[in-house]
Amino acid sequence: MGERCNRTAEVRGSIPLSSTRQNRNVLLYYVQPPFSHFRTYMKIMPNYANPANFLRLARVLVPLSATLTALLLCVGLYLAWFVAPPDYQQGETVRIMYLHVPAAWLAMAVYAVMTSAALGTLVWRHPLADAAQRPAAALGAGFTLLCLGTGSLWGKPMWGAWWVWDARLTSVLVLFLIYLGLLALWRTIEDPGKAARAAAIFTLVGAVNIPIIKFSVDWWNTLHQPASVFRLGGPAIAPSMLWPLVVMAFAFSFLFVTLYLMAIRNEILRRRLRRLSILAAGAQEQRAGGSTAWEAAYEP
Amino acid sequence: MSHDPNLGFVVAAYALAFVIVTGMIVTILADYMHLKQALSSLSRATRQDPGPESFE
Repeated sequence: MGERCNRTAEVRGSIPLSSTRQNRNVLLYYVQPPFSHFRTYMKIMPNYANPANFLRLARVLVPLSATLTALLLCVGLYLAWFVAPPDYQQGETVRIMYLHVPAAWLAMAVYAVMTSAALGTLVWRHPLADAAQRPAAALGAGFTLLCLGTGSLWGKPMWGAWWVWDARLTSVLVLFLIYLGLLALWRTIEDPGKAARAAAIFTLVGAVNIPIIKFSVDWWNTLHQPASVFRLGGPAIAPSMLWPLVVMAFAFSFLFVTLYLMAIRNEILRRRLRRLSILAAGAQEQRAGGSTAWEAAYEP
Repeated sequence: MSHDPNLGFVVAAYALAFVIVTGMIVTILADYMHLKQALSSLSRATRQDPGPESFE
């Protein structure tokens, strides 16, 4: 134990490295610090990620994030409508891109957030992890619906069809169905703990769809165009169209952050209401009959 | 811009986005108002009729 402490102190630089163990300690110097930071993080994380602290934090962050979202949306919409030029082939229809592409990015990013929350539920069993996962599903479904709807309105004038069973479109539809399935799962299972674990497993299984969406345009011959922003060799879009798209992507991201903070706050309040209602009903029953319904049910 | 034959699709896309985003905002705000009201009415009820055990 003492030797271990000394070794930790050595690798942190507080006492000099001993010559006999120098090689091993040099290795530890590179290996141990990230793990020690991780341990410290894991120790302090529950203090910051408890519901009461979150509610205090949300009270400050929601107005800030909402203001930033409104500003970015105003600038982004102005750039998208009045500054960005029409496309030489698509004409004005290209302006749908400033909604469709950020919505598609958010649809996938929200699922990534849900996947990390699902890990929090299954691995650390943190109470806030499920409270963070459930509201994200509703928002993810909203952004995916927006992506599918604007894509359909873009597809009709450009491809001549509202919908084609293309790999990209189909995989995004599957993502939308996964979001709806998760929302249905939470409503179906009455026990919140069981519902959280089932939804977390379903979320982790569904995560396989995200790389399929991303690489569907590379793996299959699709009608949908390949990636033109996040690609090797840099974006293929002209800067006059790229900048409005970037501003709109930030606006959508902050919109998500704002709505997500508000929705998590609602989820925490819903759980508090449920807990207090159960306790109030129990207390009322005790006053009325001297024993609770639970006790009455198990009386011999 | 107004001469583009596909302008209707662009306007429809922005209208759809407005409806979906406004729907999400209104749903979350309405849920918040409902929860706050339910919590305050619950705490008011327990303050009026305090039982032998406090559950706060």
